[in-house]
Amino acid sequence: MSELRVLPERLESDADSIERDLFRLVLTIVELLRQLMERQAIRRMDALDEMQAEALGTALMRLSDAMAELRERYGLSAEDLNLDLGPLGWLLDAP
Amino acid sequence: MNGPGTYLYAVARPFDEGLLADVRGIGGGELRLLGQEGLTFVVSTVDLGEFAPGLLNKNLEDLNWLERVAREHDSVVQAVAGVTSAVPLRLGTVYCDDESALRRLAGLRPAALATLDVLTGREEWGVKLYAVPTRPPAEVGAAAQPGSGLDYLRQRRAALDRRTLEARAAADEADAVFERLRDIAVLARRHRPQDPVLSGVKHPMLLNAAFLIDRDRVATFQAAVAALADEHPEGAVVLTGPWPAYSFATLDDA
Amino acid sequence: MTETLDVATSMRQTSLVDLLDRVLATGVVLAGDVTLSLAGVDLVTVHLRALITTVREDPT
Repeated sequence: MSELRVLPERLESDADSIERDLFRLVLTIVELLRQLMERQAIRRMDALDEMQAEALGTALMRLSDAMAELRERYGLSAEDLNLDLGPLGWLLDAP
Repeated sequence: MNGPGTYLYAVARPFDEGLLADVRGIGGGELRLLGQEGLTFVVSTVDLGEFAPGLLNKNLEDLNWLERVAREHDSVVQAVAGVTSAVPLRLGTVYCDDESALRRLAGLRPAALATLDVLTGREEWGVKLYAVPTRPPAEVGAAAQPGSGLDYLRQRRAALDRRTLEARAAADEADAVFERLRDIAVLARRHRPQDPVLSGVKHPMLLNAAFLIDRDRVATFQAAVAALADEHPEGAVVLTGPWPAYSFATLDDA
Repeated sequence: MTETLDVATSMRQTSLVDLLDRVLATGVVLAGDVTLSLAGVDLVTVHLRALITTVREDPT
């Protein structure tokens, strides 16, 4: 297999953008967990009774709204929350 | 490991060395023809320091080195293929010296002759298929606001199912394109999809295929690709060629 | 649509990626180490090479 080292070796944050960059990283992880939970809920929704499904759906909907709000606070789009893992592709699906 | 080595570009039927007079090999090296009973090996001398196994890997990581060598290699192969039937070798086939090369190649003789037969009168063409979106992304967000938690889950499920269906349809489409063109070809093979960072194309690559086509069927093949291009969004179907038959030369797998 | 199909190459303008698909036995894969650093301090280094053989397989 031939490898090309093309990925940047360092993802630097300077003092000015530190807060935003750190926030972005944190939100990316939260978004990953949110998506995993959502997928799991969808996978199991038919096996739940209506009240459980309703409660779960409402919680996930609120979580999604909260994420959108947090992103907006830092001027981050859905596309901004992602990590390029090179040969593994992107961490999150395209929104 | 250092010193000179013998770099092999292609195996061909005998031809006049003069036809390659203006062609240079890797690092500007002069080309030589080594003869062996009905087969000719096109070689040049290279520095083993660049191509010895451990060192080669390091160089393969250097895109500048790789680009230069790949193009030098290809220009020799194209020149040879332009004058006679040739089996192209991939990049990096090196021997200690001419004698070692001839000795090793004596063993590959049956394979070389067989491959020459397969490649004679044929050329390679490449077809790439991209997933070019036709659905405007805005449409996705325009779904009605979910009224209840259950509504939300249903909406999300529908969206994920749609994604899965689209992915499957895209893969099926790639298979269909491949099969359709394979019918016109002598041989066909799929390569790994190209990394978008390398290709510079954002759209996902669904198909990266190579086809070996009889020269007198090339027009038919091109017409078929043009028809496919018409059936797909603009830019989805990309034709490249003609290529030396790199994808169908099995010599260095031996 | 197109009457004549553009052939996206001539000998001198071959896309490097298309050429590498053909002259390298297993094609080309991007690899590398990604280091996340804040305020000049390297915090996390992800080594991606080890995982290459398990991903991005030919879909056939």
